[in-house]
Amino acid sequence: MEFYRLLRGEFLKQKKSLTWPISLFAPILAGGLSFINLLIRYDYLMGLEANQGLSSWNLLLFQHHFMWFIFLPLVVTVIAWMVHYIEFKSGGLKNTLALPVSKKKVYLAKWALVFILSSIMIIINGFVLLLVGIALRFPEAVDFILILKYSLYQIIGILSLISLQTLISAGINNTNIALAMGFVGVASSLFFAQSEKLAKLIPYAHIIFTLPDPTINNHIPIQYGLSLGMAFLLIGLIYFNRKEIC
Amino acid sequence: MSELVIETKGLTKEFGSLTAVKDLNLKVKKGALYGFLGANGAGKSTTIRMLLDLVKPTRGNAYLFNKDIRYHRKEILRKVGAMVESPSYYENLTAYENLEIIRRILKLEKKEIDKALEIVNLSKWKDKRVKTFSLGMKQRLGIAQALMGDRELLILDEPTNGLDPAGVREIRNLIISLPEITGATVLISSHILSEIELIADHVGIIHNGKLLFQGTLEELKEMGNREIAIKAQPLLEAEKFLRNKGYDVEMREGRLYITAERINIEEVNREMVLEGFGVSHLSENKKKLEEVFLQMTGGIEG
Repeated sequence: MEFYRLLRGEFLKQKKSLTWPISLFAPILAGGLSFINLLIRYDYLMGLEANQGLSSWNLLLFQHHFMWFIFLPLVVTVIAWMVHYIEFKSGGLKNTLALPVSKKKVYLAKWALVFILSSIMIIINGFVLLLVGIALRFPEAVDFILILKYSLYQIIGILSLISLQTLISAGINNTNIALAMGFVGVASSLFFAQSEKLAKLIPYAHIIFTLPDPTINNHIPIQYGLSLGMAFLLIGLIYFNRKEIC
Repeated sequence: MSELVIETKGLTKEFGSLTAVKDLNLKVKKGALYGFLGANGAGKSTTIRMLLDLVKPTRGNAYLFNKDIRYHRKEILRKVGAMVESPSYYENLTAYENLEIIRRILKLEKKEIDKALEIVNLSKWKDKRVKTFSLGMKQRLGIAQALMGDRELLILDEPTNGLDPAGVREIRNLIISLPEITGATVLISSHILSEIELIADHVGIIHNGKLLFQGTLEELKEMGNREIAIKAQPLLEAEKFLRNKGYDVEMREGRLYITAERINIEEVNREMVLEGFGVSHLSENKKKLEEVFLQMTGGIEG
């Protein structure tokens, strides 16, 4: 119950902040761009040799993913930053921790808020993709399974990034540094993805592998997103519980 | 003996080679309005953070309500309202919403918000966003946050910091009224002596992490009366004589000044006269509280 109360408090802190608009509009914006892309280039793209055998839904996800694999981690990094920045700016953390609450639950509530907002964003993204496909009148039936898999892989794959960014944001007093580190990490994600080992170990690269396709190793976001997500969360909890609030 | 709400035993905090708080034995009695006085960097905020378990002591213990904060953190903090260093507020929210966060966390009834706003005189502005507030209003909101729930101890760290004179007076009057309104013991830290003098009934003076004085304001003021100015001949011999008697003597501008915790002025006079000194002037200097403080903390000489 204490965790739930803290989480409700975290949600209230974000009222009238940019966190909600960003979470809601980021997938709409990305979906809108994908819509325009396919509206203009659908025939051309379907005619390409590389896309032979792809369904319209596969094509939509492929095209969307080129943008979304950067967009999603970037926005999640910004959300994680905003959730911690509000404390950094207000000096609220020391006063929250002077209340009879568990430090671990305070940390967990912040983590959960970022996770919930990220999940909402991913789910909206799935819905938007459905709408884009319907609006473009794809000849094939709606591929619910494909979009569901895509969304689910992302929800699991983003765990590692959320836990890492939460850890960095809580660990560094100046949260702007955490934001900068996140930006560098996301910008470098494509380079990390090219290395077999780094693709698994660097959370920023995990989202790249969430596109459901036989040529893409979807085990990376599932296995490493989940395991590193839990590992970083645990490290964060231990660290934050011991952290001195100076 | 009065019940102690706060008691620290040998409380010490070291940050690497820097000792921020050294062997602090603080005692705050129930019902007191305790002024924790010290210059910036003296160790006030670190002490307060240790009292609230935000910072772990290197050595020693902090007891609140006779329980060690390290082992009874939640139980103790349920009774403690605090404003640490500066008021914290979420500017995007209204005053009411800021208190609503605390209310949710503490699982209080909604009327507690109105009660706290009423005490700090912010009811009229409860639906205004905090970013439109003046600094004084923000400070009052910070105090309101500390008042939420039935707090038995209020810890206010520099609540008048950065305020203009009118704002200082407003917050001062509010703090003075708190024990009567809430029944809580209040610990207020400040680096401004005049503020503490006007607010507190008990004082603790901290300097370079050490507690130099602790007691009532009257006791502190009395310390300022314990300087005796003496004009005697021969002066150098008189100085030597008084030193041999164990007095702390200083010579300034042709006079001798004795400072000690307890001085009997008649006895000093008798001893000097019996020894054959010509005592032409003997007076008790009434030092101002500010001078006592500065002398205690090494801010001025003499």
